[in-house]
Order: sequence, then structure tokens, then C-alpha cells
Amino acid sequence: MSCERFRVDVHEIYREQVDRDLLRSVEEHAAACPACAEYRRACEEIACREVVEALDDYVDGELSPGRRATFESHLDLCTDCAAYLEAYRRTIALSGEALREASTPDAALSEALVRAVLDARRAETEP
Amino acid sequence: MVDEVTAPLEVADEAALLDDLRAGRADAFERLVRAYGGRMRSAALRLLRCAEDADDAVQDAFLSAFRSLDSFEGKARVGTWLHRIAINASLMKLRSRRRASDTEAELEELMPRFAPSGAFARAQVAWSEDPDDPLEREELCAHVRECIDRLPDKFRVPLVLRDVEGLSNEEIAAQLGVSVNAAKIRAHRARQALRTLLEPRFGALHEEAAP
Repeated sequence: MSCERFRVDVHEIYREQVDRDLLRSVEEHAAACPACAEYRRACEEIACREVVEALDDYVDGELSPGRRATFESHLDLCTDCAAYLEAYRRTIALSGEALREASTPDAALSEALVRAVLDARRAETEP
Repeated sequence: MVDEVTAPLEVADEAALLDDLRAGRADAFERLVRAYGGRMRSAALRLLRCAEDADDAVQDAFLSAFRSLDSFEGKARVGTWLHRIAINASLMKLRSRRRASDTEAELEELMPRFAPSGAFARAQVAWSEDPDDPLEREELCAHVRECIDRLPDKFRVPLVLRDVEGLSNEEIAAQLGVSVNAAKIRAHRARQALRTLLEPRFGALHEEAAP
């Protein structure tokens, strides 16, 4: 089994879509390849679900240094979480861009609105 | 080009305007409306998505600001203070017209799925690049707005307040009358739901796991 294949197959094991032969090849590869064994350890230290649940804290820099390090070693190795994180960040940037741009053409304060506000104010203060 | 009507005032001009307002000078209120009304209307429009409602919210906001002028201590900039009041007026308006269909069930469908081990149930695929072409980009922005509009208000509003209006979780919690944790969770779930809605656009449809 190649390292590349291992890193695909090990995720299938986590998804529990695996047969005994695949499990055996993955075990054999991890026993012989320290880098892949480390990859698997980092994937198992924290589950993708936990990473995703606290992704806002990670993006906002609100995790403790220890927790952040655990997240980063998972994100360095887990292609699923890395792709999810990237799309999550793009989503935040896109909502900002889309709504700020949208408001520009329509936002102009019409003369009618200025007058309405001033009239309402006058009605409120005049006896 | 900067629009002179809506450009924010310098600190010294703000102080002078506040003095004039408190002294009851005739044109001071109009200067306040012209200087800040456009930006307040932008924020109201983003939350309410209806020009007429946004106009009402701006009017309510100015009247409310004027009534609380004496309690404004000048710790924040006038623009920031009025922005928060406009958001508050918009949320009041929103509450009065809340749709019955704002359920959490529709959002649940858009959350990522996990296997019992905690791994993603399906492989996540990297998104394609954003377009550089201005027309395509504008078209993408229109699509993003449509997707945001599909979110239930309960989640859409915290997302807009957080990622567009730039409010902190604490400020959102105070505006919505919920705990900081609830505000934070709602914004996070809204981002996740929006990510799912945008996914097909970036060619990142889930690949079925190999058998």
C-alpha cells in the first residue's frame, strides 16, 4: 500500500465503510511507515466533528494554545477538515462582500426619507 | 468617489454637531440625518431586505436616538452609536413581521453529517477558485445573497450582524436578548448552512465514498 492510498483508506475506516482486508493493509502500512502512523494518530486525537463544532473559535483565534495546536495538527493532516475550513472561511468572506456591495446602490438616502424623518421629529417635539 | 452627504464626520465636527443638537439649534437634526442616514439605511436594508421597512426603521432609529441624546456619553463615535440604534430598530421591525416558518428543522438539513466515529460521513472536496471577472463576481454575489435569504431569520440575522455589520458575539446577544453562547452558536450554524448552500456553485458536490 502506498502512503497516498493509506491516507485515503484511513478515512474510509473512520467512515466505517471498510472490509477486513482493507483494515489489515492499513494496519500493515502504519506499522511499517512512521509518517503514516503519525498521520493516523493526529486524525484520531480529535474527531472531525469536534473540529467542525468549534471552527468559529478556531477562525476567531479564541482557542487556548494547547487546543489550537491539536486543531492544527489535525487540520494539517485531515484533507476533509482542511477543505471544510477553507470553504467556511470563503463563506464568511463572501457574505461580507455580497451584502456590502448589495447595499451600495440602494442605500442612498432619498430626499423623501430625510423629509419624513424631519417631519416625524417635528410632530414629536411640537406641542 | 466619496459621497459627501454620507461621509462620516471628523471627531471635531461630531462634537460640534452634538453641541448644536443639545442646544436645540434648528438645523442640527437635519445635519445628523444627512450625515449618517445613508449608512444606517444600508444596515437596515441588509437586515430587513425591504426598502419600505428599512425607511421605517431609519425613521424610528433617528427618533429613538434623539430621545436618548442626553444619555449618549460620547464614549463611542456617533456613527457607531447610530449604527447600533439602527440595528436595534431593524430588529424590532423584524420581530413584528416574523414568519411562522422560521424553524430549526430546515437548517438541520444543511448541517454536515458525521459517521459514529466523528469523521465526516462523506469526503469533503476543495472548492474551485472565486471568479476574477467582475461580471461573474457580481453574479456570484447575487447568488450568495439569494442563499443568505433562504436561511431562517433566527440564523440569518446573527450571520449578518456578525460577518457584515461587524458586531461581537456579546453585542449580538444583547441585541437579540439571548445568551452569548446562543448568539455564537446561531452565527456558526448559519455560516455552516450557507457553506452547504454555496457548495454546488463551487463544483464541490459531495463524492460518494468508494465502495
